[in-house]
Amino acid sequence: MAVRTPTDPSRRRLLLRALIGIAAGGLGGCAATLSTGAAPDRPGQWLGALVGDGAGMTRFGRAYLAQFPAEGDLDLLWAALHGVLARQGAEPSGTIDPERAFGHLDRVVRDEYRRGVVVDVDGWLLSRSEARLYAAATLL
Amino acid sequence: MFSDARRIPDGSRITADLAIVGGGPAGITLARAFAGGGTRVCLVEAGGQEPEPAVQGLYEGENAGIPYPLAGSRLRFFGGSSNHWGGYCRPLDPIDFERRDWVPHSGWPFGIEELQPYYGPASEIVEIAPGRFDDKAYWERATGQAAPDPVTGRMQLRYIHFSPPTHFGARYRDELKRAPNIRVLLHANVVDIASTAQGNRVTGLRIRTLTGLSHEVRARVYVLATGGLENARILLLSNTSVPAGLGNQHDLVGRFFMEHPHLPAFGEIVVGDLARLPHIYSRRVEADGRSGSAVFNPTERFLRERRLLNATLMMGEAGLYHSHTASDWHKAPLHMDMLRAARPFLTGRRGPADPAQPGLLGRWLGLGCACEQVPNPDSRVTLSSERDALGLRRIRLDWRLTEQDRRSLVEHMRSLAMEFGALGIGRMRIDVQDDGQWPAEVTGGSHHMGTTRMHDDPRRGVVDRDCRVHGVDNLYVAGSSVFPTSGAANPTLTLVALTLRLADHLKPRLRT
Repeated sequence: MAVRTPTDPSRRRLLLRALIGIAAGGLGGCAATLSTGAAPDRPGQWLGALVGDGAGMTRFGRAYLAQFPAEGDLDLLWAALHGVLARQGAEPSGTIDPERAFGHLDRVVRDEYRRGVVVDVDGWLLSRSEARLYAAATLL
Repeated sequence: MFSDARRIPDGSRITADLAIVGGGPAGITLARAFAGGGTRVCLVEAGGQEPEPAVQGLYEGENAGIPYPLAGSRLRFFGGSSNHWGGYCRPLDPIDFERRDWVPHSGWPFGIEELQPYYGPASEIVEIAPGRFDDKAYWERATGQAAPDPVTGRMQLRYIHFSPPTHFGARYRDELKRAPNIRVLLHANVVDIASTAQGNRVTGLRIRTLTGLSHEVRARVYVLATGGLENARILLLSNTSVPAGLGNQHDLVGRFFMEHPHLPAFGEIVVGDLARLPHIYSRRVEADGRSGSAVFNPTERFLRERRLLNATLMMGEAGLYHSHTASDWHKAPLHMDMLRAARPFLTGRRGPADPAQPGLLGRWLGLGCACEQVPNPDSRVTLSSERDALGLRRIRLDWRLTEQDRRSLVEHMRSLAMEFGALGIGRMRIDVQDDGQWPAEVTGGSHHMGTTRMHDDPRRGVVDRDCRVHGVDNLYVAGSSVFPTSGAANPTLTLVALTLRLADHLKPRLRT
């Protein structure tokens, strides 16, 4: 499935916020409709509603970025996560179905553990994409 | 018949066909194998029927390497170290018997198929029979829970059994008492295994009591079964004919001491949804009057590919976390944050894992590991210059671990973390650094192995494949001191199986 990468940086940030929120918040929450140029109202609250307790992510996100400072950029993190999701057949643009999006991300993460695509973050062995998700949550 | 060496006339000479030194699991198993038959057996035990400080004090010694509880890790009274045994039972793995080019000094003189017939009877002796060490279907039926198959290719699921535990002294005392051909001599310390001038045949056991009496036991065949530390010590002390110690013509007695290194905190696993964690992974399960638990063990393919030592990893439920949990333990915040962060991956839901307990974040599991130690000739038992109450040189232990031991442990921890992540069960924090260094807190499992290792070549082993001491016609060794490699399974079940095999070997020789 061909995936168009959004060229608008603000749109990339919005999509990344949605992804983090959906993935970290799990199922439920609201389906976010994103269109070019549109910005969600009060993104902090929107993200918080889906992410849940952000303190947990922040600790590991910071630890990851301390280890990989070159990845301390939302665009880079988004590109990486977008890539793995695209390979799963996810369409990270347009209307986001939270349940489906989380399912894709969960499969990505489990597959990375299975294949050994992992990183040591403060003693925790995490899937690379999972760690990047936490890092992105820290930058938002 | 039980007698006390302190209460028989000084200078007594006891004659038997088979003299067994040591009344622990190996000695008692060997004696039982001859019970009721025509072979006269004398089982010589240094202690009494209960622990005594003065007797236990004979186990004190000197540590030259990693600090080790020489007197705390073994017991010197009838039943031996089974009196504080934890009861963990699992056979060795087939690869443990193989010559592996990445494991120096590895390889047994025979494969597991030689020992397999004895694991069943050994399981009876330690009261776990029948062993279901690989029977996933059985344990799933017994628990009513499916156990997910490992998916990384690194790990496989195995099962350990828990003996009650069998305290061999208490369990088999009456049986030995009733056997007319068996005499158990208590409070009898073997101070020397006397031999011919050439050291090629044992002529008797010199015995001394703490009360100052001296006796002798003479037999046709002798078996040393005093444990992985004391077997080596007694051979080294028996140096009247052979200055280096009996059976020590190639300086191997005492070398290759192996343990299963433990660390107080290997790491922890946090689990968000207990429904994803089969009970048998983290606790003992009772089934058909027996108890067992699941363990993880690296696959043979993975061990060969990565050239690693073997290991057995297990876990146990340690604590619960709620959103309001307050703890001054430094790891609690780490665990709780991970449970919060990874919750959707671990529970598949945004809300609490258990709606009946909305504040529940999850659980944490402690980890345990029996890690194979590479056979290392510099990890060894020698004699100290200090002397005990009998005037004998005390034991001196120089326990050493290597970078290879460490590297394998870390890799297996990582494998377990990957497996739990791939299955969506948990997240693991590893507290062992891959820096080749062993921390000061490393301990053992009271598993004493390798100090009279088995090899057909007398230049590479103390005993041959029949556990006979090279160069000594009528002296054998029983117990885990003959293990050439440690494997990753607790040694008791295997040493009992080996002892039964030894009994089968000795019976034709002792037939009257």
